[in-house]
Amino acid sequence: MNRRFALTLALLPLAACGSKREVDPNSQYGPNPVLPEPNEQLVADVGVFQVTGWPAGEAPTVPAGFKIEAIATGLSNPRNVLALPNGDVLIVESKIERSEPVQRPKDPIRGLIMARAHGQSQSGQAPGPSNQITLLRDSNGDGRPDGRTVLVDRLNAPFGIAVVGSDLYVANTDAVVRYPFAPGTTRITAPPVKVVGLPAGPINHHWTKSLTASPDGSRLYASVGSNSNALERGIEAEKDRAAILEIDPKTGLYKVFASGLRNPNGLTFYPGTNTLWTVVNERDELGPDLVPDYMTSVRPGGFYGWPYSYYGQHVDPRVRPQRPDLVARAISPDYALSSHVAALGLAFYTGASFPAGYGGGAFVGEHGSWNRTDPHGYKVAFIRFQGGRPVGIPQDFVTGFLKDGKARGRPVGVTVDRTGALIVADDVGNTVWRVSYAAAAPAPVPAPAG
Amino acid sequence: MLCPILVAQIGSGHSFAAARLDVISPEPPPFLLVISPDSRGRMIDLADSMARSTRTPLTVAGHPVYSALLPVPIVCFLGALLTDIAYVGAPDMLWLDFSSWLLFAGLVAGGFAGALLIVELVRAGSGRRGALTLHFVLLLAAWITEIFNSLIHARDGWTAVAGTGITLSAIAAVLALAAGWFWQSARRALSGETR
Repeated sequence: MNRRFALTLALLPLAACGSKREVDPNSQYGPNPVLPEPNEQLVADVGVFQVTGWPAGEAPTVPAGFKIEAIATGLSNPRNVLALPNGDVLIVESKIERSEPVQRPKDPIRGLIMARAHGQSQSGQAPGPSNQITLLRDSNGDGRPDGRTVLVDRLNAPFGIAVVGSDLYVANTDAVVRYPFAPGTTRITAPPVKVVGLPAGPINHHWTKSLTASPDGSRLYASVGSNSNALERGIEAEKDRAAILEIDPKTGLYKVFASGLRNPNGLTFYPGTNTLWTVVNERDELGPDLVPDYMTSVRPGGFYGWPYSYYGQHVDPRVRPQRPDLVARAISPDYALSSHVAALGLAFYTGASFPAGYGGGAFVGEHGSWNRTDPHGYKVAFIRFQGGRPVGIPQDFVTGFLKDGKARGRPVGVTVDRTGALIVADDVGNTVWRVSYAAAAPAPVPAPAG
Repeated sequence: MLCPILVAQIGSGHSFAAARLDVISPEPPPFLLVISPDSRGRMIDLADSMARSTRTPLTVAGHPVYSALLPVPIVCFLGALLTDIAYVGAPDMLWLDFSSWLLFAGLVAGGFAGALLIVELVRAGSGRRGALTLHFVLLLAAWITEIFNSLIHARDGWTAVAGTGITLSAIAAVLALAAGWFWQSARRALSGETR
């Protein structure tokens, strides 16, 4: 046997390898991001970082003039925060315990990568029980909480919360539930009342269910992420998924409000309007520069492409059979946030203590990429708004979550508190941060504690 | 996976081989994979180009192991081609799942088979290695092709199969079948028997 021929035969498949390309990250912001051709690499770009937690005395970085402090540490995977008008801050600690069923040999490998990115065993902190809501009370209004209680526990991987009147709504991963909640309550003992079930099931790939209420409180909106990256679990697994559901809290009836949104989170109405906004995690494994995640206003009945297309009519080559009828009406989202940033939190700035340019702008919690060797996200970005529309490119607002190739924390949910400070949930850092403007006016008169 | 304890007696010293034989003789338990020594109780190393005596294939409880393992990767790789064809005909993710698992099973079984085959190649000595080499190269080429094909098949949908995926499946199936074809003559040469 000719040895050279044998070698050629053995190395033949190498010819199938693809090539890399570069895209300027700044070209993937705003309404018209540069979208390169799909680049399905032989081995997808993977960049996940060992989680170390925050060394004592260390904190994320904020712009000059601002200061950042931890207002709660030692939490167990805090993923969402909600500031109440009385100054209390609710922290949703959440963990999904089960793993997805293995459908293909790649699934366990993918699971290992994700476990590393979310791992807390190496962070040096031994998290206590998760799946609960912790309440922080700042009774003297100095921005530093002086009380901390577990408001409600034994939840099922909760994420979204909303307070409407005297009701607290919690979006567990499998249902929206309601608790009676008078302002000032520090511990709920009443059992939950189920409002409506949400798609969960054995796969439950994107398990975070975001929640908000319409400005008049008559409707709830829950986001349900897809059960797959690009329909690889089959269409049956996607019923009522990759969608925002509109729920009547009185009857539990719901309808699909908008669809084709791969993994929508951070549901928030733009202040003073009836326009719902969301941040959406777009699909992976089309290369490091596809598909940009985005922030968008949501049109009732709108279809935003997933899984058949992205940014309007850019067809995903992996999805068959295709649906040209749906692609034809796919809406291009308002504002690209760049690829794989993993936007999970959204809050509009309604406070008055930050400088003028921040008013009405959007803070976006970017959990950070895995499908890029060069990381994106891992920060809270700020996007200025003019006339209710995003303008310019995002500015780094809270950074420093990655340092020396290790993840000290990862930002998720964001909210603006009574004093106009920004509250950031940091899940793998097991911390909640508060960013205030150093030159801010004195805190308002504290509300009476309940 | 397979759990036999592989007792590989690869040494150049006669006394060592004999001593180990004492341990496992006369009746090795059936779970032991015994690499049978040649008729003089001697093991052959790679450099021993002078070894030309008759040898038998590796056996478990008297049955040749490699012959039993070889069909698994061939059938799996051929099966993956068939399920790829089914997927391209009617793109249901189920077919892609089948292909992915068939590739995986074929690679695992093929990996074991290939490891055994390398041992057989060493044992064959340079004199009769030629007959095995063509078989080995074809199987190795099929296996490497399917490594790449597994990565292609890990894509989430149509592009996992259409184009590159199914082409690699076809190439590997042909290579694996050819490897099986040439195994017959290689086996005869290896065992030195005529049937």
